[in-house]
Amino acid sequence: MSEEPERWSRLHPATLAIRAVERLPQLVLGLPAAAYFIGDSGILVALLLAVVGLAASMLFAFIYWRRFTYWVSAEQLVIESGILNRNRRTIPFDRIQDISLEQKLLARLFGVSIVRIETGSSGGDEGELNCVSREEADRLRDRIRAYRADTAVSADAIDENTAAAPPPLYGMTFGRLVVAGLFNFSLVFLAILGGVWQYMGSYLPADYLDPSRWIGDYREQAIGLVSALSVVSFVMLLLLVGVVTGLMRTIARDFGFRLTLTETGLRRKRGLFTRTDVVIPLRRVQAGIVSTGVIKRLFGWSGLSVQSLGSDGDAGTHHVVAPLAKPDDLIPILDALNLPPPPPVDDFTRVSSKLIWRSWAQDGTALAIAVVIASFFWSGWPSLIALAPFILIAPVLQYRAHGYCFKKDILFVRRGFWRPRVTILPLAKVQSVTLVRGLTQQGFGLATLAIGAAGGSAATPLRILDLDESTGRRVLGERLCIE
Amino acid sequence: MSDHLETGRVEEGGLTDLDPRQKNVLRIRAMLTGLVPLALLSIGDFMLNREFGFPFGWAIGLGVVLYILTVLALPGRRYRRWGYRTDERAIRIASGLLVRKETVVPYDRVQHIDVSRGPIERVFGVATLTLHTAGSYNSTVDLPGLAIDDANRMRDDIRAHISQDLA
Repeated sequence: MSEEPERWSRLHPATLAIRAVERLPQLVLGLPAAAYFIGDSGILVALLLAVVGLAASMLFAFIYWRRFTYWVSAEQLVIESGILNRNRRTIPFDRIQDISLEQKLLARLFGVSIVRIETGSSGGDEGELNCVSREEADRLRDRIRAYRADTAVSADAIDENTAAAPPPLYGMTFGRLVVAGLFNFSLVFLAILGGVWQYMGSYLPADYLDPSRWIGDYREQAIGLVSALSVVSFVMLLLLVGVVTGLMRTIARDFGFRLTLTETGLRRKRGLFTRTDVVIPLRRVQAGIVSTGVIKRLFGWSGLSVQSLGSDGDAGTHHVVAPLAKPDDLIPILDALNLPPPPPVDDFTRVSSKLIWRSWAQDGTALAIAVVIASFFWSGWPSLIALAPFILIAPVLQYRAHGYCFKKDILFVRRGFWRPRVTILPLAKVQSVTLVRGLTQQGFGLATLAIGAAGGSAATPLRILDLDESTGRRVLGERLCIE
Repeated sequence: MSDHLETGRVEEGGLTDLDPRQKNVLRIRAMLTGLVPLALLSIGDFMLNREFGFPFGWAIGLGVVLYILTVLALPGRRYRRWGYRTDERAIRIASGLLVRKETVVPYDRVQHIDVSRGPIERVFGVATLTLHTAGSYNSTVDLPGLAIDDANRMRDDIRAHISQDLA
């Protein structure tokens, strides 16, 4: 391998500025603590310490930046890094499975981007360039893509700004983004508020939680205020917070959602503050999942995600490729993935209706045990019986929402009442099948089929629940594991 | 193949039993793993006796009864639940005392194969065949209690299938 030192390049200098800004909040948060330890007189000392700390960490970042070099040859990427322990990593383009670009808010201001390169050897990032200029990132990606597509690195590298850019498979208008946001009702904001409160709590006076401090002598009027009306308005406020949070989160995540088809896979760009640009290689896609919600479904909306072989680090291997779409919008995406759309509900075969009895027996026993145990320790144990209606109704809804269907060499499984979803799994992607019969199931003569596919969850694989045992064996023997 | 019929589990498709020596492996494992709860129960017994004046020995008694049960009764039953069958395309492995599982792995989905032997298995001349699949569920499928020669032969057979499929 011939070295070409003149072609070594460094990360974009803006990286250093970004590092500095990223580290500021830690220092600011650390200041009160430092002031506390040093005492009242030492606020200047604390500031000085902070400046020294920042300078030291910037010096370190600068040395690291100086020592981090990479070069791109015709067929591989070489990264040398490390201050004391030099590490040289060679990533052949042949082994590159996935390149994703990510731009956080700051990075967008500076026009730079993080490039993540995954080779699929361990599922994590194998190479990260944090950060390079946007043009460099695009150039690198085009080069690797061109190499993989067996074409020369020439003018046909696609630039989405030119007229030659392919039309998107799927995009989101702002209106649709808002609709998606309305469905993503979320109370996570309250959790964040709780966290901030907990953090700030130590800076507030100790008795701020004591209601008498706020109400004082106005107790009489205060009791009058806690009426049904105020409860209702509180609930309304919670709902409003939930809707607004969902809207903001969705807009921040999915703003400018664009899905295009490239030579090797689906390319997804999205994000308002943090802009991500991910390529999902088609040959690593294992299954498609069309999911909706109990209310979304009434309006005919659903979303599509794909289950793909280890990529995106450990952040799960499900990529959303269409957050909110009408069935017709999904067809071109599914076509590109070489997957058929889900068949109509009538085509699905129901599992055994004994599922309901099995759930009642199992959950009822669990509830009875819980009630008996709770009755020893907790005077409020009768309230547990309020769970009984759920235990009665949930299995019926689950049964009605569950079914499976074989079409040619594809398995469809639908499941879930609250969040109905259909998994589309080509039989060629089935790695193993286990017929499981739990204790209760043995009593009812039922069996569950658990289907092992790559990229899914090990703990909750695709399951067809509670088939009659003979049906389960027949499906296992005749339909699954057949080439 | 007549030994398949003697197992009397025709409804599950005539599975081959594991090597009988595996029963000893299971028993010795049960003896060793059972020591932990036995020790915990004994300590609990002493504590309850000293701190609360419980009658001495009932927890130890319970522990000993459970221990004898797990060592004498369970390994045999567990052994009988294990079984496997190989045909031209796939291997089927059954196991499980309470929750019964039957896993089917087609040969062409096997990524690689291990034959491993722990110290107890070595003493009794058996081995565990482990099949690795690409799935995240069932990423490894174990078939313990094979005579070492059988395990090696099965590994070679499955490997032959894999290379045929690639050719």
